[in-house]
Amino acid sequence: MQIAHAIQSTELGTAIRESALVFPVILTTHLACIAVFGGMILVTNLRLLGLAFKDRAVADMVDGLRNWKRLGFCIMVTMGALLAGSEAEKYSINPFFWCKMVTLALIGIHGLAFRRSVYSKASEFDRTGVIPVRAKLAAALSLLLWMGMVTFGRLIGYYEPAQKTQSVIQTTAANHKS
Amino acid sequence: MKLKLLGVMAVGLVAAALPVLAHHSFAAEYDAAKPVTLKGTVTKVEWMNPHARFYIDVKDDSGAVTNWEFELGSPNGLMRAGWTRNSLKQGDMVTVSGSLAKDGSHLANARTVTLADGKRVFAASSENENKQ
Amino acid sequence: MSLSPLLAFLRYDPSTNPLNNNEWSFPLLEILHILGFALSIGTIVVVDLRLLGWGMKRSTPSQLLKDTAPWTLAGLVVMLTTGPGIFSSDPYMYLNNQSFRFKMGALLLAILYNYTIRRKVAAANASGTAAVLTGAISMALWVSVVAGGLFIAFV
Repeated sequence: MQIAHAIQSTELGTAIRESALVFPVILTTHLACIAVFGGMILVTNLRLLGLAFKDRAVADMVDGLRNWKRLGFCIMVTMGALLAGSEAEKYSINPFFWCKMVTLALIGIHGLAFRRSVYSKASEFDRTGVIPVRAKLAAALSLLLWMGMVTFGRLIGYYEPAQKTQSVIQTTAANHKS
Repeated sequence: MKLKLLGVMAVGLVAAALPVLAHHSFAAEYDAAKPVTLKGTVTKVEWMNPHARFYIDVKDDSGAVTNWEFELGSPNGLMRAGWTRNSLKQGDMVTVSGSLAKDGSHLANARTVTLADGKRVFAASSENENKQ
Repeated sequence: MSLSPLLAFLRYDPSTNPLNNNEWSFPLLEILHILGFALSIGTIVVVDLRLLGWGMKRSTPSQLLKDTAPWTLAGLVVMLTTGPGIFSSDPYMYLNNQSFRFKMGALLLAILYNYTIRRKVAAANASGTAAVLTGAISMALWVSVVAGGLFIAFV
């Protein structure tokens, strides 16, 4: 794909792809964010599901951690874009990458869909002491989607396109011509 | 609501229908008990993360040419082992020792490479550190 | 302390390990390893951030420590099962890998720190310099473990 080639051929893309420390540091940051911010998402979902942290205020997690989650999200997306951009051609044909992007889009839709009924109502849940089924559904879906992100993310590195042998044969043929 | 559930299911189905994976642990993809040493001309070098790789044309006694692919470690690992970005260039005559891929293709994980200038370097790949 | 003599004595041949003989077992183990550290380190960081005066400010460090403790432990159990599992697929490689050795050192320190100093400081609802330092050191240790793990493939 032309666009993918153009993206990865930029100075930044090339520098990252061929770098010694930059690439692994970007990956480490991406992983560290899974650790730091993934925990916040997990804790919030467990609370909404009523499985843990039952004496803690829902608002403390939903409202108290909101900005941190946003920060984490921004860092994740930036690191992800740098990684994918540096190897855009490979990523563009990687089905696991696309599954991950679809999951990310679903996460966006999830946030919008449940904003009014769940994520802006944390204080109310604390006041009434009741967490409605809709909130539990939101939490369950959130867990599923984020686990999907981790799963597809890790699998990106495992995909090998079937047409690899083809390009090898072509290289040999091309060399005979010269 | 239902749309979202359908979306998640669709993603799951796509994932389930996906083809065979390439492994990422040395022992799963390559066979240390199947060593190979080949001499040939470099046709292509991909200096990239997470694994660099290069291709060589190997001519056998009958004159037939086969193109082989060799997997290396990461640029950082390679540089720690004495490589530079320009250690391998298209057209270089090199000797490579490594472990064959389990699937029988013309792919191997490089252990050592004797470069065009005679310098012998380790390939910084995971097999490199296997000392039993 | 070297595992090599032990492995040699057991005549351990990694090619007999099922992890090396089917497509999905290794990636599945890695995925569980990542989810496991999201659970363990994630719950640890919630308390660490609170010690730094950030995050869930309506709760006290001791409350958060008490609530996260079983989940952190569950996460560590996942890690200490999946980790050796992954290790078993290529033990000599890992033993000889500088980054892996660093990771094990950092992990030992992190676990010890977690169940000694940090537990005391959080349970006492400390604030000020002691709390901030404790939270910061804890986070630094765990991020080092993650970095050590990632860099295994880059040294």
